[in-house]
Amino acid sequence: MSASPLHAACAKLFRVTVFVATALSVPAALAAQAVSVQALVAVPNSSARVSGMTTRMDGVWAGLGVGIEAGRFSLTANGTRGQVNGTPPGAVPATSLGELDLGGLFHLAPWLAVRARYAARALSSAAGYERWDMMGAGARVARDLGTPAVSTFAALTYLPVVRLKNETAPTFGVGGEAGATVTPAGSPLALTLVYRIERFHFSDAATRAAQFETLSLAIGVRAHRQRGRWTLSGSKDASPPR
Amino acid sequence: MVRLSLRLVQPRPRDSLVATLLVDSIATARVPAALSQGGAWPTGEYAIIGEVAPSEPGSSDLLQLRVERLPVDTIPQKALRPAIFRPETLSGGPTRRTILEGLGLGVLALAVPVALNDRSLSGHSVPPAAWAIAGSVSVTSIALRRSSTPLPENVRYNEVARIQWQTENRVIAARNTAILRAAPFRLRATREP
Repeated sequence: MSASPLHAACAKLFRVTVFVATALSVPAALAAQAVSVQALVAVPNSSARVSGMTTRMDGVWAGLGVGIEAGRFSLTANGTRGQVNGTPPGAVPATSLGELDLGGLFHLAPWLAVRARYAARALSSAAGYERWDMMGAGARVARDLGTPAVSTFAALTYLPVVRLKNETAPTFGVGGEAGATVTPAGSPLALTLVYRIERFHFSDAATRAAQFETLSLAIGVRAHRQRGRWTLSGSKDASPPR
Repeated sequence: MVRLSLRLVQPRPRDSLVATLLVDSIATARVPAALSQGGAWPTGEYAIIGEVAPSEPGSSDLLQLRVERLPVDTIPQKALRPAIFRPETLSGGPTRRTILEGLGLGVLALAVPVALNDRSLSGHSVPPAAWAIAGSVSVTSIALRRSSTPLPENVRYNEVARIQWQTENRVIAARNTAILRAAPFRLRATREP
């Protein structure tokens, strides 16, 4: 897949749109109606094929996230760090992996939201340093599973802006996620299990392909403001972990 | 001639003439602590104003009064005991529709990862983690959406029990009102300097 002038124009338009949307949403987010904090542990899995040779890495990472909700807007920031190893072991050197993920959701309906996302992911090992910068937009749907305490969600994100430091960058990426959230009755805690997958498309000349997956388990606590008072509640409505 | 007026301080000040006396030096006036339409004064702040007529500066006096009810024992309201109620529905197994809906949600949760997964890269046609999510969604959905059959007999029984509880509490509330109304009251007087 080659990068066309049309694709470049779309990418530029997308960057401008995200910047404007973020600038407009920040004042609303400052008057936050709810804030949430969550800790997460995840199993990342990175697969790449370069010149016909496929390498796979998996491991464990952990991190923290914060979220702000104001009306129909919600903003999240997650930071994670861990280590991945090649499968089979020894195929690639042990690699440190870290990610910073910023996301924004605008709820069009209780079950539907549009989202914007920026993520920076870095991999560092004896073999070198690799950094991915991604920006994208998409949609997220959610549904209760018989009770509001348990809900499931799925999201699809188009990543037109993907940059790879010192390497040939993908022309675009597509991300998806599916998961479930449990908010036990009377508890301020919420448990979220989410599977996330990202697939990147490179130009034909790059002879390269990449895919990144994570299975995350997060525990979060949410405080919302009601009649001027802050009250602890489950972070059911908070954005899922990364 | 001395005119005695009752001043109700709360909720808004207003005066009402209660007695007019011809006084040489000392006189006794009886002011009934009762409302014109019957019943004792409600608790609160009052004042008795005495004015010498024709009035001149400094020819009036004021006595502040506070009417208080003495505490009395009232009958406690009956608490609603959930144990007396019977279940109004009977939970059953999942219906065919519930099972299909749960499986459908699982398939939808699986669809996103499967659509994006590159089998040649990940080595799996369906990522194992995606199976875990889809399975969790299906099982949870089926388990939480179990069918329930209404039990009209128990609904009627609960309704009768609820009405009986409300009636008993209404009787207690009426008796408490009477007890409070009959409670002795205390009058405290403070003379204005």
